[in-house]
Amino acid sequence: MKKNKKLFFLFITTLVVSTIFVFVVLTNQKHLPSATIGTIIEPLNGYLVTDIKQEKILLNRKFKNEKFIINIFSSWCVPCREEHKYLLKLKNNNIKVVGINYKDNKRNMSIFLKELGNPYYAIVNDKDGYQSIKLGAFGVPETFIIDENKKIVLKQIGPIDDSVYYKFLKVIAK
Amino acid sequence: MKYFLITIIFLFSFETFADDKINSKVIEISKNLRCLVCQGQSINDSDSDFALDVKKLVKKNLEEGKTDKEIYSYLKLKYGDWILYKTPFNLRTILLWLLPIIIILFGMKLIFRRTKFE
Amino acid sequence: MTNIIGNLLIFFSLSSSFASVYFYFKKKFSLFLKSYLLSCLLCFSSFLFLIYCFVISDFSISAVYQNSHSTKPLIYKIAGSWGNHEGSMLLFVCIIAIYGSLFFYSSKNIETNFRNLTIFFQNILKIIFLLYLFFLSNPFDYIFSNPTEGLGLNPILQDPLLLIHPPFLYFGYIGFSLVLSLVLSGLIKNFFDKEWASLSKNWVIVSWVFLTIGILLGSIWAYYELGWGGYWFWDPVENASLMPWILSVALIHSMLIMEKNNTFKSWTALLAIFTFSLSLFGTFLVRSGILNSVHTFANDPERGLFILGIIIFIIFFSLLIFILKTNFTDEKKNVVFLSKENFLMYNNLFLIFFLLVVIIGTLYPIVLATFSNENISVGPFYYNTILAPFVFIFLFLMGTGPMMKWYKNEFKSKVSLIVSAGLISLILVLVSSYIPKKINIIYVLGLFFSFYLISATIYEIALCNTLIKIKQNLGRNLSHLGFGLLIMSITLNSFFSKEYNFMINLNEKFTSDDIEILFEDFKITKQSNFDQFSTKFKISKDKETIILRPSIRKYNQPEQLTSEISIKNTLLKDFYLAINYSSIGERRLIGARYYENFFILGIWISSLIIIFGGVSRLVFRK
Repeated sequence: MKKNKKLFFLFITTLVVSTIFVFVVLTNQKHLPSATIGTIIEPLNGYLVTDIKQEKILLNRKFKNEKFIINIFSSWCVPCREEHKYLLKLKNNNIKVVGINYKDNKRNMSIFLKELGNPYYAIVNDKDGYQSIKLGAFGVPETFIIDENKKIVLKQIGPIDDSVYYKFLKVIAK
Repeated sequence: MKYFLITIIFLFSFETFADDKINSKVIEISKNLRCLVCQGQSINDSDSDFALDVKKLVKKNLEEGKTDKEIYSYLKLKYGDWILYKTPFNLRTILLWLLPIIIILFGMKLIFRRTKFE
Repeated sequence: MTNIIGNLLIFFSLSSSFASVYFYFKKKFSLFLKSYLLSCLLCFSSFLFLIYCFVISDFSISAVYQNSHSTKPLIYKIAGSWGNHEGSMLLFVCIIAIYGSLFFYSSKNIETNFRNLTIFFQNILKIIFLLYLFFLSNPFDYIFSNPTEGLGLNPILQDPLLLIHPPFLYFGYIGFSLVLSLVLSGLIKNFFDKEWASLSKNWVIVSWVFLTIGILLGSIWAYYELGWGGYWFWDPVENASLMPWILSVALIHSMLIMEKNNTFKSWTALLAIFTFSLSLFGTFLVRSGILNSVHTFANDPERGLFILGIIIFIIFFSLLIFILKTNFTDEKKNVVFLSKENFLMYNNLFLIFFLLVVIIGTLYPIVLATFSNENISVGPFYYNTILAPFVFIFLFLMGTGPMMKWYKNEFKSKVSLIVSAGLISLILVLVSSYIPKKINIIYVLGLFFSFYLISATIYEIALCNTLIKIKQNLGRNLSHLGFGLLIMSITLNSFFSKEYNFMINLNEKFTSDDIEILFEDFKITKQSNFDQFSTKFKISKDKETIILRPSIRKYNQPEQLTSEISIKNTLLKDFYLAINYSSIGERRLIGARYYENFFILGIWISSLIIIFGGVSRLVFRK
């Protein structure tokens, strides 16, 4: 009698424990969590490095009632080259892309943009990485969609590809 | 070859370190932060770009007179609990902290039941 | 061609293992043993053959292609054969076979039925892992494109310590497979008693010694190679090796009770079953890729699932036999308060507690992330906070327990002894608190309780007046003494050690507190498989000057940068300097970490004393 109870217990525990572990292994993706999604972005301050205007940019004041994109890039970052054509496409669709130039120098950046084209509405210089931290970024490239209320609604870690691009268009059209 | 190696090796500029106290504070805080892009290292142990940025930020904040608490909560706001190696005690971690205590009490009870006191 | 030979060797080894199972059921025991030994022999030769493939750099074999390179030094070509998942699994199976054959040759005098069944179970374990190896993780997989050059071995693994670290760890982990076989066969053949305990204890200690050496080597490697100034990081992979270690210590102590008075049998059986399961669990954690660890050099979730399946099967099957076969009536006997057995029970309780803390700390974040999408991090802060107070109590019990008598409470007669050991520790703590400017509670308690254990153990040693007594108790006394010294060194290390991070240019000086560090010189040299950027730093402190030469290596196959630290060891402290390499920049500054690490030598030596304790127990067994 007591043995049967133990056996029953053994079967149940084995079943439960193995289900949990299998579930953990199968659903385990090493996604980086994004705490900043849904939060309102902090004003970015850095120097605008494009030819638009030489002034401190406070993104809260610009972009009234429109969605826009923030893209962290650098001339020394190889995947940034891969995603560049998608940024140009976004620009051609009249979507404003703000670039955050991460740990780069101005000369290398202008060569990079001359070679591949300039998709950016404005570029913020992020010499020490603080602007990227404000967005909760881990490195380059990373791309964020900001909605009308200055909320981060989407975050892409790593380069943009076809599927990410269409996802972006969908979110912005909403 | 020589210059190639040097450019790879040499790091991004830091401002000169002034205060010993701030330096040891930076080390103390960055030991309690996880380097999110490197597998299971602390910010202090890592030399990745991300870790260097956070270290610089911590130092800057300390120089501006911010407290440890403010620094931790700012980074928590940006990266979530995941960045804190100093695991907080809250609803999500209640079992993590209490389970061991429950276990030891339960074990003591089991042993007491089997003990003869003369 | 080579891949066919390799596969054939594994295949024949499998077949003769199966033949051995067949003969066992047909009760042809001499054939059973012969075919078992043959399968072991084939298994060894397949591993030797793999090493041969690595030595001749046969890149048509995928394991060789992915982990070796023709320009690599010979010794690392050989080590490459177990520096990857496939090869390490073959080593794993070989060690199962080695333990099986060792048991075969050393057990001629024991009861035949029990002996045969133990070998039978050892054979079954071998089959399980050999099947996994053959179908899912075959080291002799062929590459059709026939590459002419290999990809090379991760340079961080190209280290003499790491050459021998995995084999030691494996000899530790897998020794517990034999213990499991002994338990199962003991239970089935009604041989699970005092005699079983004294026979099996030796195997547990052998595995424990190997495991301890393996962990120590890993820790030494981390200290000298990773360049973070530490020796233990509470990293999930390190925890994975600590889990079976803790449980095996509990097992050794529970076997002491079983050997003495034939009780605690079901408890011992359970500990043995879970010790081996936890050894496998470590492999699962590392391979399944569910961990965020600095040590995950290779992972593959699909294989992880299969290893998980194997672990669950082994645990389930063992527990099934355990439930069906245990019927110990004497288990319900009570234990006298403050008798030796009582202290051993508390030993087991604390060890299980330590184990569960490590398991909870490792798994809780993973499970939480799966079920709630919340990510938290558990690090040294958690382990130190939870474990420290209990380690202190544990040290007290560890010092007091051995003074007690079996079966009876003679605590009162030992009170004066305990008090005097306490007084000695108190005086020592007062003396050592006088040296630093300020002290904290952890420092005081850590030192007090480790001094207590050390002085109590020294008293125990002094009590042994005959040579036989000295020999009989040497194992315990050394291990306990070593543990006391270890906690003492760790406490002192964490309290006194200092760390400075700074950026420095050539000919610049970094000054802080009372030290002065000057970046004097650098040069670049070329070696066969790497370029080296060497630096020269002059460190001045209290009119003392030392030169340290840390460097950075750029390996060419595969291309990777590593930082080589420079250390000057002294008896009391290590001067430790590492430079770093990670990012590309404009200004010619170099990042440096300078550490003054205290009592590192003490940590290594006390670990060695613990190991000697295990070894001397094997040498001077009754």
